[in-house]
Amino acid sequence: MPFIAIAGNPNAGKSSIFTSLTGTHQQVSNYPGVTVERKEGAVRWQGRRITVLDLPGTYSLTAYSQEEVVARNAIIGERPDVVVDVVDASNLERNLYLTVQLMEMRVPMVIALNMVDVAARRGMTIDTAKLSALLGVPIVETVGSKGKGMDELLEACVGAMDAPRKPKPVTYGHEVSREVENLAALLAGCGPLVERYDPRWVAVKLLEQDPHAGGEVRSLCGERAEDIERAAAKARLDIERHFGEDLVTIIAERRYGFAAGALKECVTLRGEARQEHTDRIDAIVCSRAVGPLVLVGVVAALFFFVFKLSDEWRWIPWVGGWRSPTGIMDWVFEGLSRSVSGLEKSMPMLYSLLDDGIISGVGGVMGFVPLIFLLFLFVSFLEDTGYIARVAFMLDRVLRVFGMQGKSILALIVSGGLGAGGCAVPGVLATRTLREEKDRLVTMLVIPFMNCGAKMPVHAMLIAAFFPSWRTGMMMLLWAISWAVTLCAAWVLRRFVVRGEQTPFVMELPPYHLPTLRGTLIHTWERTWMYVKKAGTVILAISILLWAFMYFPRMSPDETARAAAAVSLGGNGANHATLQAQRLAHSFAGRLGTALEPVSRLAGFDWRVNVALIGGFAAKEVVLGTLGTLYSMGKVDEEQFESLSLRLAHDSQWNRLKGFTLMLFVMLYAPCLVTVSVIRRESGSWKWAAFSTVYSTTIAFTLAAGVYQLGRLF
Amino acid sequence: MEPPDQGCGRGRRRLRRHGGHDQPADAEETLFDLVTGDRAEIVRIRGGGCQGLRQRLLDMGVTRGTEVRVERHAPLGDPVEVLIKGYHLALRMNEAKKIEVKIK
Repeated sequence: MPFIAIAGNPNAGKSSIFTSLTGTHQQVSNYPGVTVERKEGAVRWQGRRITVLDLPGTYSLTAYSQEEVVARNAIIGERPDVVVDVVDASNLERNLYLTVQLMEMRVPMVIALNMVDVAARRGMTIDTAKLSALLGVPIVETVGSKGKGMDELLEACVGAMDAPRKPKPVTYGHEVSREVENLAALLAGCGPLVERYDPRWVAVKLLEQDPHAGGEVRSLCGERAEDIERAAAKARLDIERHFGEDLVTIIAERRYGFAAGALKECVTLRGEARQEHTDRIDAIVCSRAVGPLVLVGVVAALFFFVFKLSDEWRWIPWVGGWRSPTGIMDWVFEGLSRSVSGLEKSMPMLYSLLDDGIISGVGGVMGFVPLIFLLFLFVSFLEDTGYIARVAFMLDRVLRVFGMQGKSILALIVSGGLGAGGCAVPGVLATRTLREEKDRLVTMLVIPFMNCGAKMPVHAMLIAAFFPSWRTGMMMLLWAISWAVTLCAAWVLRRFVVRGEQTPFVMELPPYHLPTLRGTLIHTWERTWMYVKKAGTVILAISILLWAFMYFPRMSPDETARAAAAVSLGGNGANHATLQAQRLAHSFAGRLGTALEPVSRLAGFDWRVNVALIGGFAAKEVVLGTLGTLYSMGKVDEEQFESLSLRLAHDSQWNRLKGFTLMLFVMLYAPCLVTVSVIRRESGSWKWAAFSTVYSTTIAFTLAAGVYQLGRLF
Repeated sequence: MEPPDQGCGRGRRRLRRHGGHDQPADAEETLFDLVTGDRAEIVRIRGGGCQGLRQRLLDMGVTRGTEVRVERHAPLGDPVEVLIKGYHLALRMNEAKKIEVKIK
């Protein structure tokens, strides 16, 4: 099947061209082993079905970043029939630098000269025919955001497939070109290599000391490899001596020279090219005085709308009145839960599995979908406009101190940084805007410390029980602690765990533009769907396990009878709730809770709290429900915890100190199941998911135990 | 990639250049020393252990002879935004220190 790959700079309009070509027929996945998104789609053109692969956006094709390696390997390994190079016409010189590198690979190409409308508005006239002749590559003018030029682009691609033609060879000036030719002649004698690569390209890469090229020569050229490498080393020395510069610099300068030469011949400028509206916006948005205020406003608006629209505002007409999207999800899963309730008496185990295990587990995941969808919608809108890059610019200095970077702020705030709800799941997903792998990992590992919406009811219940008159003060204290722990943890992680030099922060501030609604929606939907699919399967499995852990082993009929008898002897009649509590105590979870007691006593937690915390791993608000069951209160949920609050307040086993340490622990210990599975997905390995769980629990326990032991002294 | 302090690490901040262009434009001047509105020409990227940074800067168009203009600094004075080859580029002051320039 015909196959085209789309390459290009970030912000050159690559994805809008991809979306215009393939519409909604796209599949998103990850390249194996790395966190780079792989997008594939298909388009039908004149009876042919053409596969379209959207390569990651890159500025270059060295081995500098994951994206560059992925893009390069895809072109070499998957052998697209045509590589479409999307070039931003309004930013031609830097975009042509990548074009030159694609030309070096000598694969059939078509250039999509995108955003020609913007270039024209900036006073640039581009002689397309001349440029095309100069590069030896067909050029099609496009405006990706309006879908203009797509037919012509496909026609050019089909033309290039039917009559493949290599781009013109790139010249690097006399001295360098001569060495490249000599090396290429040597390489041409190596059959297996020539089958896969253009010898000139390998020659340039050998001169640049590219690690991948060196490896390929060693594995494909056998005994000649040594000669070749020696020749390359000598050529490199000769050139460096001749120019008094290192080779990487020389080659890069030659490539830019080639681009600049083409530009000079084919582009005429009326006046100075300026990005006028971008300059005007930036003069306000990035200024010292107003910039931070705008930032606070945008972030607050994002936060407000995402959470209000998904959960708090009931704005969708539904059966039985108005509901929020999350409310609709709840309605669906409550309905499912009711529909299986007939099984409660006849098949109690199946009922419990379906209701407590599967429906509440999957329901918990699906409950996040509206939130995630809206968050992605706002974030990808902000990202596509170019504002996120400005956020990174303004806040980089502050967050760098703690081993993160400017863009991390978004994830921190979505996870609950404003102290009024939030959620780590979309927070982890929001780290996708960070291109630097290590900064991203650190951010991902610390955001679960933020006070998310699910911890709030637990805090509220405990505050009501032990600090009824200090409500606001307590909440603020918890908020401050969560920020302090988050920042300190990031600092420590960057120093000792995710080590290595900080990726240089050299970032383009792209011109502002208004993204299309269609593109943003498709983008958002893809990402949401990926979450539903992947997180759903993992979470289903783990919630069944967790359910079994809290359900088995059952008490034997004898034990049940004895327990029931003991309960009725107590004088309250056959108390169902008490029996439930005893069953839970009897389960693996209950036993583990008891077994952990000697340790957890250090932080003041008895076995009941332990069991609740184990349950809280599914979702933090479950801590409430489980405590309720264990104190025989029947159903306790987020909205009605007064009875549990009263019960704890009057329990002689409890006091303020215990209440406070429990809040501290709930705030900091292992991220919930959904978050862990999303960390696994986004970090690309179980290792980091497991690490996240263990290190946060360790920090939580150390702090809780420390506070408890200190507090007991007074 | 270790140790990190060979061109990639942090260094102490020098006093930023103040006032006009009265002092001689020696080759030591870097992008770090420029103030908003200054125009300069790239002389070279300083060597050091950090090849990744050099490659990245070159890829972004920071090549010899290219003209840059300092557009603004972030609210906390770092990073700096420059106009280069017709587009806007942001880089940290630590990176700016590695770029020698000639003020115009």
